[in-house]
Amino acid sequence: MKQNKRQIQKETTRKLILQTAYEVYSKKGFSATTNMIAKEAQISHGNIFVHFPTVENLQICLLEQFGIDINEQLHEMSENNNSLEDILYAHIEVLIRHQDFYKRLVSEGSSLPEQTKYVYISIQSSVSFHLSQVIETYQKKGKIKMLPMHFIFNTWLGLIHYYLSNQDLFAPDGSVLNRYKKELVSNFINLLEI
Amino acid sequence: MKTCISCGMPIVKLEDYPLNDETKDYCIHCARPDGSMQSFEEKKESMAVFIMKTQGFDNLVAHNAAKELMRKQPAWESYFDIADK
Ligand SMILES: [Zn+2]
Repeated sequence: MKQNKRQIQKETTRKLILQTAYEVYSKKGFSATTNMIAKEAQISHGNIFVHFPTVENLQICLLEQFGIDINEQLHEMSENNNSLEDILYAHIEVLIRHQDFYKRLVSEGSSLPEQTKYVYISIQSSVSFHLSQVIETYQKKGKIKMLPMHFIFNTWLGLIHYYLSNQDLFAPDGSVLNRYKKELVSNFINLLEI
Repeated sequence: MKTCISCGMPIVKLEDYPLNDETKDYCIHCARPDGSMQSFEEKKESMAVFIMKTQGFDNLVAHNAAKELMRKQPAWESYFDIADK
């Protein structure tokens, strides 16, 4: 019973660290220190390392959670024979939920440690997987152009990343994806359609 | 939610299973045509090909990424244990 209580306490602290790290990284970027995270979470600095042996380990756990969220959302979509429009919207909606965090990932991705970068690649792979299933079906039916899958995917990501990284120009209030999602989705499909 | 032990993708519907066999704990994308699970090398190769096809990455980067993706999956744990020693 006592052990159980301790385990619950441990799990609660772990979640608190993850949640706080997510917020701190979203606000300040991945160069934010564990000291800042500990301060914000109101725990001792050493306590972080009881739960996460290294900073890299903490960042990987965060990215993995984000990846699971994306994966589950998109999987549900592609399961039910959803349209290309639905899946693009689903992608944007998940990104809107994680907008500040994702923006940091995009702008700082190339300077992340090797292992963390691979988690980032795996997240994009799960997006490209779900998108490619719908795209291939559309191509087989002759509904959209026979462009290479990677070109379609990179064009879509490039578009989103451009709007995100220039958020101050497109939507100074910060809600850039929310504001432009309709335009982005419908025009992207128009580009692809035959 | 059940996820594939080989690639980590969600397994939700009957169509996600190899040959619609719900007793399997790996997904249709990790199975050979006869329904058995792909080997480590087969999976690594097919994943790298998939990454190059859908994201256009460099060949070596794609192969490294495929291997790292597999490191996280329960099906390949023992492979990495041995390889890392
Ligand atoms: Zn699989």
